[in-house]
Amino acid sequence: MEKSLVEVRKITTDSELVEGIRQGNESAYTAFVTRYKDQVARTVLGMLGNTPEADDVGQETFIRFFQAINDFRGDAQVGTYLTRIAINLSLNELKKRKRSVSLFSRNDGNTDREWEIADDGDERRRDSSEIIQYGLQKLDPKHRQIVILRMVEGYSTKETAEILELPVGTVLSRLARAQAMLKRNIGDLI
Amino acid sequence: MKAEKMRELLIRSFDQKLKPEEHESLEMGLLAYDWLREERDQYLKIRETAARSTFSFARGFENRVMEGLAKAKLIPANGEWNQALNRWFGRVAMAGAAAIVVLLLNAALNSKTVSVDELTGAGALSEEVALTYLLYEN
Repeated sequence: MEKSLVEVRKITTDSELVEGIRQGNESAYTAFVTRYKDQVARTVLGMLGNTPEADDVGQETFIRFFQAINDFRGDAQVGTYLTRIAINLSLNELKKRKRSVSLFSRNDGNTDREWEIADDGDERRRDSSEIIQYGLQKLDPKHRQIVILRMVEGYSTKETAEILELPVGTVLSRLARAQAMLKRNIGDLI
Repeated sequence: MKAEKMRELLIRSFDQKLKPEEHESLEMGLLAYDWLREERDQYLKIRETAARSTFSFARGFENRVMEGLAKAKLIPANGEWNQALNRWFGRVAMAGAAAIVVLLLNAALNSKTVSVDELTGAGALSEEVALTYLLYEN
C-alpha cells in the first residue's frame, strides 16, 4: 500500500526516498523536494541571483533528477548529484542570458541587474544573505560557482573539484582570487 | 616577507594546509602586522556570513515542481488528489454502510420483524391510512 506524505516524511534515509520515487510514490517526490529545496536554492539563487529564471532552474533541477533516477546508482550522495545538476543548469542559463544580452545589446553583460546596492557610499544595513548575493553576482561564473560550493554549501575543496570536474589546484587558485574579489566588493558592507 | 606573499599565505591558509615554514611565516606576520590581522578578520567574517546565508525559493515551490512533473508526464496530473480521494472514499463508504446496518438492526429490534413495511415505517399504518397517503399525499 502506498505511504502517505506524513509517513514518507518520517523516512530518514535518502535511499528509502529514492526507492519510493522509483516506485512512483508521489508523496516521496514531495518529501524529496522539501528535503533538498533549500540546498538547491543556495546553489541556483547564488548562481543566478533572485530572478524568475532561478525558480525555473530550481524546478528543472528536480525534474532532471527524477527523470534520471533510474540511472542514479548511489555512488554519489544525492545532494552532491543534485548540486551538480543545479550548477550545470545555472551555467546554461547564464550562457542563455549572455546570448540574449549581446543580441539586444542592452548592457555589457554585467549580471548584477537585480542588485541595487549602491556603490556610492550608501551604507544601509542589509540582510547578510543579500550582501553575499550581491557579492556573488559581482563575480564571474567560474569564480562564483567555487565560492558557492566551498563557502556557501560547505563542500571541501576536494568535493568542489569533483563536482566541477576541475583539478584541486585550479579550485584553490580560483577560490583565493574569488575571496580577494569578495573582500574588495563587500568587505565594507559586512 | 612582502605584503603580497603574506596575503597569499593568509588566503591559502583558509582552504589548505600550509607547509611548516609557510605556517610559521604567516604566524609571525599576524603577530607583527595590524593590517594582516584586519584582513584575516575581514576574510573570516565574509566566510562566516557566506556559510550562514539563507537562500530560498518563493512559497509553493514543491507544488510548482509537482506541476512540472505532471507536465513532463512523470506523475499523473492531480495524482495526489486522486490518491487521497481513493483513500478517503473507502473509509467514508465503510462508515456509511455500517450506519445503514445499525439503522436496519435498530428497526428490526424495535418492530421484532425484518419486513420491508416495518423498515420503511409503513407497518405502523392501518390499511385506510396507507391508502389515503398513496392516493392523496404526494
